[in-house]
Amino acid sequence: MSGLAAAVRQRSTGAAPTADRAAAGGHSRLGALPLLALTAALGVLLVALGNNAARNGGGNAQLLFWGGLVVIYTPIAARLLSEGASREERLALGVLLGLALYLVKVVYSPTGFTLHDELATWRQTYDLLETGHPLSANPLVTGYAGFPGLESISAAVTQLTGLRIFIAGTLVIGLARALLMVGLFLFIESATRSPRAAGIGLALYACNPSFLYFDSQFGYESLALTIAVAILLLAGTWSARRTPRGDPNAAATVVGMAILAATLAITHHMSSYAVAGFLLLWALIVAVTVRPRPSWLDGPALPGGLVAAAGALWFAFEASHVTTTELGSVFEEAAESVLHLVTGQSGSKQLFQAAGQTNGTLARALGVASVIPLLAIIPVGLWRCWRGSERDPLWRALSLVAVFFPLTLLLRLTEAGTETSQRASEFVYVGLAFLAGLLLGELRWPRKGTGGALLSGGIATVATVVFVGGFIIGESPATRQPGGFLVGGETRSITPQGLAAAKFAAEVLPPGSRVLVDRPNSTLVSSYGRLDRVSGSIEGVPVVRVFFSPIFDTVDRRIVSDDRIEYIVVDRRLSHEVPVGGYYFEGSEARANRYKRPIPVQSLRKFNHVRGLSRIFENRAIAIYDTRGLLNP
Amino acid sequence: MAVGVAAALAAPPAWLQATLLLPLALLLPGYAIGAALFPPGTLSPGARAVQTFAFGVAAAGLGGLVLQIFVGLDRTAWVALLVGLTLAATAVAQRRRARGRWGASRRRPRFSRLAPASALALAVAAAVGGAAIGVAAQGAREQQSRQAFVSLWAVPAGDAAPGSLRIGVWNHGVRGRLRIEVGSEGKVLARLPVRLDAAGDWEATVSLTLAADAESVLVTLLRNNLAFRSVELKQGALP
Repeated sequence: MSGLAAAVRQRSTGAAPTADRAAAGGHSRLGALPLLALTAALGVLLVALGNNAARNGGGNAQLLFWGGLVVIYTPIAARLLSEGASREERLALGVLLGLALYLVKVVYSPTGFTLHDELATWRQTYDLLETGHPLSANPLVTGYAGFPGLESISAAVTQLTGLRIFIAGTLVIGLARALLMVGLFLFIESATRSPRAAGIGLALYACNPSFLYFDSQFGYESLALTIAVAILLLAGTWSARRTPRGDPNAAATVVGMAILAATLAITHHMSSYAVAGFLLLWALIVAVTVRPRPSWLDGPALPGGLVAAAGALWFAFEASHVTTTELGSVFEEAAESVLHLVTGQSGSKQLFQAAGQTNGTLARALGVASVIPLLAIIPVGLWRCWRGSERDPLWRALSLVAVFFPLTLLLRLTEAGTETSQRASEFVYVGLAFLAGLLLGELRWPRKGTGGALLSGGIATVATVVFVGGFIIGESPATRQPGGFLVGGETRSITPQGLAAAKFAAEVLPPGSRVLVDRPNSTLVSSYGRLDRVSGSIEGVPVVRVFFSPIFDTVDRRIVSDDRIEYIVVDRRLSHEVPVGGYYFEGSEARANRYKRPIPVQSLRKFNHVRGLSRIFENRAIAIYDTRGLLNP
Repeated sequence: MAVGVAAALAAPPAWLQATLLLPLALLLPGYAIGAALFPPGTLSPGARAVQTFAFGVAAAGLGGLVLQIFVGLDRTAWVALLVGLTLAATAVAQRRRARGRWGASRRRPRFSRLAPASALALAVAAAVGGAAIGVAAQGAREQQSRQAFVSLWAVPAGDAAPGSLRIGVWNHGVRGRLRIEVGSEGKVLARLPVRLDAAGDWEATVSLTLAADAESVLVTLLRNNLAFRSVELKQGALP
């Protein structure tokens, strides 16, 4: 037997709880699943009612919303923490939890996509349907042009079934979510040999700040997570083989891993790099700690190499430009802001506050309280994994992933680092989920008296705080629920007036026309409207200066003509208030996150009096100007 | 799969098409590839479900990338790709099973028998979940319907009708008598009644004879004889 397989077999099995032993004997039960499915569905209904109240400005909106989330999460978490559930029940509860929380996102925007990345994916899918070819440039998210996995499967579903892209995308991501939970369960169970640990791990993974909305959106990362877990499952199976030389399915397994590595590479850059990094870290620990040292072909090095090679090849031959453009700017800004913070050049971001939107005292307390248990399990988990008797390389690798969690918290102290922290959480929480499952799964509940109930209830309460607090950390107060229009409020800025402007662009204007527009309306006119948003600067002058200048001067004329801007979309509501998200047009605009007063109304009305600018669309909130008179005087 | 292919190539009702072809798009290719690579007993049911989905994405993503080099990815191409991959993978799977050289023991998936009460509870839960989506959708539509506005637009009709203007009015809940006036240099060139419900679209193409030195055309939407919205086309965008 290889040294690696021996190390794997050293994983502690412990004394399996009664229900798990029953499950092992083949007498599986669904236990409390039907009842918890009812409570979860009720929770989703409460969230939907809360969202409707928020749309109407009702006073009980938040009570219904947060109450619904707790009704969904807490009973399932309590059951997963308990000892009484069978393996089958735990797996089903994990899927139920994932799907119920996915429905929370669905009822947020049940009639169409509203998130920026979702509309960018919609545009990418639409272009594939129209042209028959993927890899087209995307005016909203640069990276999408190089990663066609999601739009390919969505386009296939749309083409074959006749369903709208919205329905097809919702189904694809919903199925991905359900199978992500299955895959994570199996992976943690395989690592810990405990279905209870796996279920607890899922309950903790659902607490990651991105789980409710960001990872549920119609975006490439949501799909990539499931493919990543599929690779981890195969890598785990590959590494745990008892007789590698006698494995009749070895070649096919390698082919399977290669196919999935290639699929992940064409679906999402960061997921591909993260999986490669993790597998190679695991392989390094194997090489350093396992004796006799196994062949690198028999362990995680092979799947890690496949994923790394696939990612590198795709980067080299197709996706280098879009990847470096998208990731480069994100990491560069994050690194710069951290450096400024450390050297004292800038202060830290105001926590729990974003451009005038502030969390209340209770929300702040929950946010802070939610990270304490997570920070606490890291040192205990590290000790367990590195000093314990098992010496499992996979345990050690997963524990090191969890170590990144405090680093992601530090990133949240900076404006630019917050986005990196948010995106990293879905990977880092795999490590935290493993540690939580490992440690809490080994706890033995008192069987008699109220002790067990109290302990279970107490830990379920802590888990609920972690869940609620994680969501508070990950989502601005302005966008947790739908509601009335907010300037610069991402989903809260998607309105019928903007949809009408996008419809006009789609039905009347030439597709691919270059347009200057604020960020929320750009998600509409560049997706449904099929126009191409213009951003950045021309000859060192930010193009958004056109909106801020009090009069339309020669600099503005030069911006329009030099950058070949064909249309300007003006949302006059921008003058009503400062942008909730911190900026009107781009995160790099001069006063981003520092607005004290809204953009002056005169700056937005000036376009009516410009010779050569024709106002061709008007619905009082939004006007669209044709610049032909400036481009071709 | 034969039923699905027939449905793909024929034109059945939308609901039937979606029902029959969703498995072809999401499940069959991935399951076949998984079966070809991992014969019975080599994967647990849960792992096989995960791999089915992942290989399904592979079939569409990787297969689509290769196929689009040669042909555009339209409906026929997708059907051909996914059916072809499914059939090829199925053939490989059957051949490997016939050889039967597997060391792992066969494990059949065990599913719990549902008690009637449990089945009822799950069905009610699904119904409540569906109702939640319906409630949310209704709320979203009501919110949108509360915002009453009209969109007015005008663009040159282009080569299809030189010298003409294409004018559109899209009503989103506004009531009243609507009409259009088109003017230039202080003169009214055209008047058009707009017969439109509170929710609906109206469009017309109007031919204009402009003065040689006309600098702009003003299109005004009047509501109950009062100016309500206007758009203005200037030099460079005149018909």
